[in-house]
Amino acid sequence: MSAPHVLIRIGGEGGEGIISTGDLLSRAASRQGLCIMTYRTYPAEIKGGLAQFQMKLASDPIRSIGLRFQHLMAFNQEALDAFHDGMLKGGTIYYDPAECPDLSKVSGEIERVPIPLTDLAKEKGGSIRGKNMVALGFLSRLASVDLETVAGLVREKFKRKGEKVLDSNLASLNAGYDLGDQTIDGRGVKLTPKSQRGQSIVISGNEATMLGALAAGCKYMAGYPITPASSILEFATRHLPRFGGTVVQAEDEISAMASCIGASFVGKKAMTATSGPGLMLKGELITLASTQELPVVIIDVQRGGPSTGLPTKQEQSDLKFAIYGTAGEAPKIVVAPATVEDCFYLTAKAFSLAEEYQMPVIVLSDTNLAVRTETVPEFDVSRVDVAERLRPTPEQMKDYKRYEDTPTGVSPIIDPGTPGGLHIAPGLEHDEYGTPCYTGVNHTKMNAKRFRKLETLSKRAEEWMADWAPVEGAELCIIGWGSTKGAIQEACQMAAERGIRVSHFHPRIVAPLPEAQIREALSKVKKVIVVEENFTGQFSHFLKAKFKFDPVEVLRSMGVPITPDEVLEEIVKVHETLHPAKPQGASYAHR
Amino acid sequence: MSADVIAPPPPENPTEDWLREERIPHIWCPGCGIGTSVNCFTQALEESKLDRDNVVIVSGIGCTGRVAGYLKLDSFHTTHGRPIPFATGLKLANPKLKVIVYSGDGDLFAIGGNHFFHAARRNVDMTVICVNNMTYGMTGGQVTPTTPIGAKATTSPFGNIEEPFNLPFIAHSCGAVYVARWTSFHVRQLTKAIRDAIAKPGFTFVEVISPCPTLFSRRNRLGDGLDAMKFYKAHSEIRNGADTREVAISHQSKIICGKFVDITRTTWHDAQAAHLHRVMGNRFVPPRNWEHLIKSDPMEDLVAETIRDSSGDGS
Ligand SMILES: Cc1ncc(C[n+]2csc(CCOP(=O)(O)OP(=O)(O)O)c2C)c(N)n1
Ligand code: SF4
Ligand SMILES: [Mg+2]
Repeated sequence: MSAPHVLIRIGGEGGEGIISTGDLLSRAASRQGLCIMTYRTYPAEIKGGLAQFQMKLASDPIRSIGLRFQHLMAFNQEALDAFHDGMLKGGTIYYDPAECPDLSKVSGEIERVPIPLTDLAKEKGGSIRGKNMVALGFLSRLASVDLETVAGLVREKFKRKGEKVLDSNLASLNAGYDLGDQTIDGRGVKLTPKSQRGQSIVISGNEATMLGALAAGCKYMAGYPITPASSILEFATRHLPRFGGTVVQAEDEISAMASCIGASFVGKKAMTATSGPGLMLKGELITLASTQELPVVIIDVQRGGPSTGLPTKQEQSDLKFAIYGTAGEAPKIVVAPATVEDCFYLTAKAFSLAEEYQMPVIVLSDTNLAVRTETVPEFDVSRVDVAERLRPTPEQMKDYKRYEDTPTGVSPIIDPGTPGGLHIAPGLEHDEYGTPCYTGVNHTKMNAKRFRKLETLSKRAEEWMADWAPVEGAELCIIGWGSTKGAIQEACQMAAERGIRVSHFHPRIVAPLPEAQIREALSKVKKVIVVEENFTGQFSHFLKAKFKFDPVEVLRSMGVPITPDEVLEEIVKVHETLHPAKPQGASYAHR
Repeated sequence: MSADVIAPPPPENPTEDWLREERIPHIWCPGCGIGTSVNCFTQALEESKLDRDNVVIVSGIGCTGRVAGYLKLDSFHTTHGRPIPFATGLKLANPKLKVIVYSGDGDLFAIGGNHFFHAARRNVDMTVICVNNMTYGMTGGQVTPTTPIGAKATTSPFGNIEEPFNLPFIAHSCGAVYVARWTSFHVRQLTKAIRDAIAKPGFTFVEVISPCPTLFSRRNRLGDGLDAMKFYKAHSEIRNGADTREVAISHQSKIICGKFVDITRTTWHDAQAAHLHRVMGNRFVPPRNWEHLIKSDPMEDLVAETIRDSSGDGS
């Protein structure tokens, strides 16, 4: 059975304060020691359109949030109409009667409670802009979040707006809380905090990503705004200068990428952050970094594609581009964080991999990770080991070869300006010194050297880069990648409760693959299910090509994260095909 | 009188006729200047009496980039930064069309800067309307190449330090034949400028200084849309024919408006047609829809010539 928790969704017009209501409530809950996970969708436009914020509060760490909820706070009719379907049985809709005239579509065992957001905000706060504060007060009471904690956060948020604005907001907040006192009774939820303040933090994937980069010693960041990656660049502009680093907002993605490679050439750890359309623009330059063997980290926060696509929606559809998307053959490493915590540690790791293997590393994050906030244990910077580039020995410096053909494929690198050696970084095919050379023999040799680095890594990848949860006696194994992990884990647990044993393999490094581990996972089970959030089964193709097997593909391109229930349903289906129900009666025999 | 002979009431809003009403309400925030510019644009189209079947609007990505989607015109919503090359292709492939590029400052001058320079240099026949709100609206208020020094944006939290572009000067020096700047307060002048720009052959450019109350104004504590109008009214100076080197804008400075450039230069396709016709004579076959650019109709001659060439006629 899943641990006690509460699921609340807030819906309304973008720009009405939906997101900030949810944000404040979840932060206040977290300050009280509860674990939280939030999920939000917002329209691509700055104003207007339907926005929603969902949060899960629990005593224990949370793996996934799902799409269903017990409590809905509807700011307007559109939200009511769009979201009542997602209510769990026995749930309650709280709605603003001024904005939601029509409840006729709501059916089933759903309780409906009018909460006069507009009227109370007008009456108590003097402005309908305080609607979201009324909602915040009410929901705080519902979730048994201490009013003083919430008010403290509201004060912080509005302190610079002047006394009047702050007072008006606080009045609306109190009005909402009082109303909750009168209406909620038994419906209130009481959760017991387990963690202590200070042990955990609430953070989004994008913030964690940039923090990971800072921890790894990133000293140069160039980006170009694009949803949902912009906040990484924004975070960098505020914080990188505090660590002796430089940030540039370039004139486009090509320029951003090129300048990162320039910074890397002179020895700095450099990164850029983008999303699908921007990643493609960087493509040519990524191949340059690959052939010049320069470390660089590219964060790709995936969104719905192709082209401008669904800019604010979830999708895992850049994998093939990340792995294969080059003209010519250019090795690179692709890693995929599965949780907000991973965003920190794996981004830091990406820098180490880039430095150690001297190649571009693409970090495939996604919208879901980028914008969701989550309670995570405070990051432990001492767990971040920062690798440095291989430097030449004095012996090697006597006849320095930038692209020396070594057993690991990794060659010693010097920074420009080093006496006694030249760092020649060509885009043309070159020999060990970096001198252009177009013979077929040399081209084949240098290809082999560059790709050898991946083999070297692939052997190490097996040691640490996958979450592998083998279950004794399991006939099924689910393979997923990236942010689907929590949903798969919960589904496996629910399946176990029904007596279906399922193993779960979730690599953090998706290219090169940890081959031996995957072979082991495949060998132990009868059927493999690959779960991913795209239309064509990109990871599955990659696995099939490599391991020659026939998985069941569970693919979703709905713009929202897959839920544990959906995964469970597929598990049950596959389980039933392995154990068909016994034929019943004679009619079967006669068919 | 029976009901069916009563004429329908005239549209209440003169722009209504140009809008795809099923797409309204639009996405723009209250006080945003983009909508105002669209009113001026549709009014200008109305006045220019163009055959609307031959007008195409091309836009990039951004809040301004959404303009194309609201107009009852053939429209081409492209990728970020590239509306000008898309427009170049469609104009050169079918010069009969009136091509208008409508996009934002970031789209046209950051990622798309290169394309702007070259289309102006080539004098491709199109009108570029840039809504300059000095920020990336759609992605949440980052710095753009027109953000003034000192202004705050999400990616310049401590104030911008980069020199902004002076757009009329760029357009002028790259070769635009018509360059004007107005604010979204100057609706009459802006309407006329757009009308003139569309009427004029060659690469024409209209800059619309416009507020982004939600992001730029708020972060810089400049008030709402109405405050912006008051500011524009008080701080604009109309100086037609001003030297474009002297019309740069700094943070909350005077805004010099007017028509700065109005010259004549051969357009790309006229030059191309004339040149190839000159050097190739009748062997130059103009692409379909180019025929009007060539004085004689070379097709028959060309066929005759080809036959003559291939039959080795020597007698
Ligand atoms: C290749 C690529 N990079 C980045 C983006 C993200 N993006 C969309 S709109 C936009 C900026 C728009 O700014 P501007 O052109 O000034 O238009 P405004 O929204 O201000 O009207 C950006 C950076 C994208 N869609 N594609
Ligand atoms: S964000 Fe700014 S530019 Fe975009 S619609 Fe709103 S006010 Fe206009
Ligand atoms: Mg703009």
